Amino acid sequence: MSHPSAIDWSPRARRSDSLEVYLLGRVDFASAVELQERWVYEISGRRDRQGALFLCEHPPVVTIGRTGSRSQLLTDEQDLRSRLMDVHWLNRGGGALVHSPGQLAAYPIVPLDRLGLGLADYRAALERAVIGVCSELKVAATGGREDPGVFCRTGQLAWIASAVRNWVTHQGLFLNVAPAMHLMRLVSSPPGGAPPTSLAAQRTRPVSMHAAREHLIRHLAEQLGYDRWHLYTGHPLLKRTRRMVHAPA
Amino acid sequence: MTAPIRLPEIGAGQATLSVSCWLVDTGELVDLGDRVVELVTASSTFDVPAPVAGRLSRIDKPLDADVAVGDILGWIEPEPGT
Repeated sequence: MSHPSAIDWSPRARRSDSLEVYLLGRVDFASAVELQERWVYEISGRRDRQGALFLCEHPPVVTIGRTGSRSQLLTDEQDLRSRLMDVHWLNRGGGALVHSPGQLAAYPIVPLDRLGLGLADYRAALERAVIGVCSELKVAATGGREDPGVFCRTGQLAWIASAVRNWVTHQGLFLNVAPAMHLMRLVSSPPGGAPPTSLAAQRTRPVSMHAAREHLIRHLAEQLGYDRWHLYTGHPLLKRTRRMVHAPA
Repeated sequence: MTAPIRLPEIGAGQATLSVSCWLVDTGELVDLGDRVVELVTASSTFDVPAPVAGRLSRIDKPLDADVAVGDILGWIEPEPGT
């Protein structure tokens, strides 16, 4: 008979093939980055296929990835400060993006090597997941262009701007459900790129964030090869804070 | 004997890969698995780890250089005791 102390409880010995999905609500951008850092470390130390997916919205903020530059900002820093919008420079792919309430931010933290995916496969999986969401909402959308993301008749709906460390992904996917479009236009699209649009603008009727979120979880899990996922609201490492933010009209 | 930092197969497909950032300067010590260089495609960045512990002795692919799978990005001189 084996003694209970023989059981290895270390993180490396734990096995799970599920996707842990956290619905975080509205989260300050810096807190979301910290949470991802923590989970990249956690997932890197495992040997199974377990991954995490954080879904949230951010108060208005500008982020600039490795292929972006300050020249993409179509407004000056004084204007951004007056709107209480910070600018974050990030080690992710992609250029300058505006995030605001009404945009669904999805951050998959998944081990690409253990899922058998390369960078191109991962990008294609994210694009297919968003196209699946659009299809459920009766919006015709396409991906696979030079600019990573998903496009519809009126412009670009979703952006893929991720990073991979130790084969674990972070940063992610941003889907415009119904954001304030005047904020989205504070940064320029790449030369020859499509203008930003949203699901609500394309459908010319309101789109529920809850519905978009539910569709996205299902399609992302399927495209990344997860049969099971667990759903949580909030995360114990996130504390409730109060902060004055710009409220788009 | 110096060890090459070689770009592994990362499944980038047709995407152009370039060096976006060296995270270590030449002459600095690194541990096995430390991130030494960051590459970027249109959609993602990818951090390449150190294949051995030692001192970064040479950079072959500077900032913004295009790279392909199998390319040598730089070299690490193993150091006794690292």
